[in-house]
Amino acid sequence: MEKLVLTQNMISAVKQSLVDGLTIASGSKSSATYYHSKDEQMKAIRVQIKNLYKLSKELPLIIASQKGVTGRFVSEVLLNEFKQTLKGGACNIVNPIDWYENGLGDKALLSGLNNLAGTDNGITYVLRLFIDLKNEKVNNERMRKIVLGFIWGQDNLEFYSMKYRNKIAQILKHVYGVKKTSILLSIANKQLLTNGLFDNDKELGIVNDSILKYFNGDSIRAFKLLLFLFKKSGVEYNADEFPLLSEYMKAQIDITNIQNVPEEVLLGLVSSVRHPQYHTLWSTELQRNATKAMIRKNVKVTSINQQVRQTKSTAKLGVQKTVDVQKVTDFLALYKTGYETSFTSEIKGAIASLATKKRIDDFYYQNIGIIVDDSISMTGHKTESKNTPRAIADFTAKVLMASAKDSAILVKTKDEVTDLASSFIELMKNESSAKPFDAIFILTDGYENAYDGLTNEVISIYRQESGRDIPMFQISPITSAEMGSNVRKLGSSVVTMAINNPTALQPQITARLLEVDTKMWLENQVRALEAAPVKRTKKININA
Amino acid sequence: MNTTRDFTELLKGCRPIKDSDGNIIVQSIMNMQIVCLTTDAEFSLDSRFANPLTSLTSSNSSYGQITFANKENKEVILPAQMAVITKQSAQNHGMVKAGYVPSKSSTTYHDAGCVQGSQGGHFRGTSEYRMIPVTMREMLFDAVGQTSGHGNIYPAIDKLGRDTQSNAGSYLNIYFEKYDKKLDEFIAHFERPRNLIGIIILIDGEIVAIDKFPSFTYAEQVWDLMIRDCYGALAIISELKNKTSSQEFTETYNDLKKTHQANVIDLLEKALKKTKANMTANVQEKIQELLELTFDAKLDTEGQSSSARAPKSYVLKTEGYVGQVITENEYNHLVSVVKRDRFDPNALREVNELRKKARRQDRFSL
Repeated sequence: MEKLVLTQNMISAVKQSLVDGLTIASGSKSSATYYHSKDEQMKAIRVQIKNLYKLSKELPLIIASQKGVTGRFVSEVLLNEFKQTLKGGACNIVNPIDWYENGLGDKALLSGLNNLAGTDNGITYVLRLFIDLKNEKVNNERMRKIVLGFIWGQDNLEFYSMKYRNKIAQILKHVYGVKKTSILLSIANKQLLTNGLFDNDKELGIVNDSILKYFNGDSIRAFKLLLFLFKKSGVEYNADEFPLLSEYMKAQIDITNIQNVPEEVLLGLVSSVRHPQYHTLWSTELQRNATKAMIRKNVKVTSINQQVRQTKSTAKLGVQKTVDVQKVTDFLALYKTGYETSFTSEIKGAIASLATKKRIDDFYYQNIGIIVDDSISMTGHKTESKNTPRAIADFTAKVLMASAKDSAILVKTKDEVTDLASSFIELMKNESSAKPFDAIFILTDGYENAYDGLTNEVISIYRQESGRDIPMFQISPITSAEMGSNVRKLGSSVVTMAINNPTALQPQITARLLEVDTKMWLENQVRALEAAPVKRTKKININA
Repeated sequence: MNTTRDFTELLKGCRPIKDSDGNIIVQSIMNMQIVCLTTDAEFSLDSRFANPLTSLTSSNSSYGQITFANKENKEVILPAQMAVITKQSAQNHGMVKAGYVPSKSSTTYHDAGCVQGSQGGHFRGTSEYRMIPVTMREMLFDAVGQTSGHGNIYPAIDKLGRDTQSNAGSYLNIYFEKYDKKLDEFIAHFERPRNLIGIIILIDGEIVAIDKFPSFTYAEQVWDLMIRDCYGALAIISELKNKTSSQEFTETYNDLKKTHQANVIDLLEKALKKTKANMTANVQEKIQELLELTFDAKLDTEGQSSSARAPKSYVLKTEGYVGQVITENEYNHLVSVVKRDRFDPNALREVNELRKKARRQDRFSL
């Protein structure tokens, strides 16, 4: 890599944008907060991305490649990138030769896509992004190659074809276009009859370019998947080659005893009046409830995170199903189930062990103090994200406690309104003289009620009078639309950061380094992108 | 039928919400404070009344009137001074008071007013409600019962436009359009405590408005609109006047430091407790002053149900304050009181002081 081309004049603007961008990227969800609707949140995210892109086109992608950024933020960055032409936008940080000719831009985009796919429910985020591309009528060569590489490169494409059949078909139709889709389906049909013999080189070329160079498998398998996605009949799926699709085919006639087809797919099948079992299993409410219970009981492909979220509805259906909550990897699923049903000892135990698993390795601090805002606004929005901020704050506190190398003391606010100043004093009173705090974390949405700015006054006086300069971090589980999707600050005496998941904590802390030496930080990120083992396809690397 | 109502009677059963140290919880922004009231659960009639924002559809067939149709099986109490701001090609209207609509029936108020200047047309079956800003309340309560014409609310909008520099003229929607984003932010500053039954608003340490609702559920239903639309105007005006929160804690800490030698944490704790105690004492003192108030209560019959069993509406007036109560068999469902803009509470203080002195005087004897 050549040296960065970032000029001294630009550094301060880039620094501020990066700090803001990281805050938004780690904290902004698409769901509503206690105060703001989904639309307002989304609008704020888009404005931030647009501003970053305007400053320099690499910035949004660099942020989208960081660990812990939200799926929604990455999706919006990628959508924005795909909308622009390959050479659109100004490259003010990295040498354009590196970005365009040496493939750094491609790596940055693919790193973002991999980051998106790697989040919880990553595949749904990626497919939603691809559908957005269709809705926004984005169709260019780079986009086509990346989308096809992603879809045909999936190891478990058989399962995804079944679960997201319509979505994937829509995406492929958009990428290929109506005419080429029709050609590919016709070739596929023919190929099944002739068992893999192509009529001419032209057909072979089309199939190679459109499918086989992205697909890890033989052409017959690819054709069968393609025909399934586009609902073409007359194809046989035997259980040895297609264990899942063969079950799906059975379910089209009889859904009883089906284990490997997702619940929602089975419900979709049987609820259609054309299904042979519609009148016996679905036409009355009584039948519907019994059928839902049977499906819930039989299906074995529901993810453990989804199973735990179904606790309430499973009980309502009268199904006895043991969920091993220790295997749950999504802390929000555990918390939301706890809020909806109750925090059983199993759920509490699972939360504790998940927090230990997610503890931050190489955490910088030995002894930490933690304040958790337990006021009403932390319960989140009434309908869309009920209890989400509270769950994030609570779990982050647990992760922090597990991460501190030596000791951690936690204090929660006592009353219904936000009085962090009293909690700060309580925390400092509990500090051990043998293990003085080397950092304090305040988990709050930033809205004080006692009076705005009181905590900042208390902390400022404490710093001044004690002569101690303990780093204090305000961690907000929500970003607020009125702050341009940023964190509402308690005041100048604390560093603010937004997180939606404790995974974002360490990057957020280390990101503070960029405030010390922005250029060095950027250089490290660009080198990391350069070294990222990403390719458009798993088979070959293609230059657009 | 005219009568009198003591302030203590109007808010009977209510008490300010306190923190775990026994201080009244005062939420503040700039020079504005709110104190939330609660009551015992038995005095919160949660199951009796329906949600006023979702149960009612409003229509009108002539200017200066609004008909509310209640589709629910429960009665509805209209919050004080609700406005219909509709997207229909119709003239927006507002109520000058609170009201009552029996279950599955409708009620027409002829003392409503237009809030959208020269716009023509009548609205039909809409539930697009906003609350009229609290700074207009006084002029609107004074217009209760005035059924001639449709201009009851124009002077108050004009004043709001001047106070908020929104040039609203006779168009309330212009004020909302200008400040909606700011008002949305404003909601975020306050938290609605559980079991809320009423709210007291203070500006510069003086009580300017009091609202008591029929139930905890009702308070929850109208909270956002009350904070944003109704009380938000006070914050807008404060901001335009460059009012800020004082650094009360820092001042208290510096005072304490002169006389105390404790370590920094103990001193911070003392200063914080003292700051909160001062805020509590100030609010208590201001509420205490109102306890002496007695309102003249005039029965309001315009549009209100004539059924003997239905709640009654009274317009409340006393020197410096004006308001309304919806009451039933001495049980006050809804109270809404506002300080008159030109009223100086110091005058009330002098009156109270004289009254207290008079009480301390022995009766004349030789």
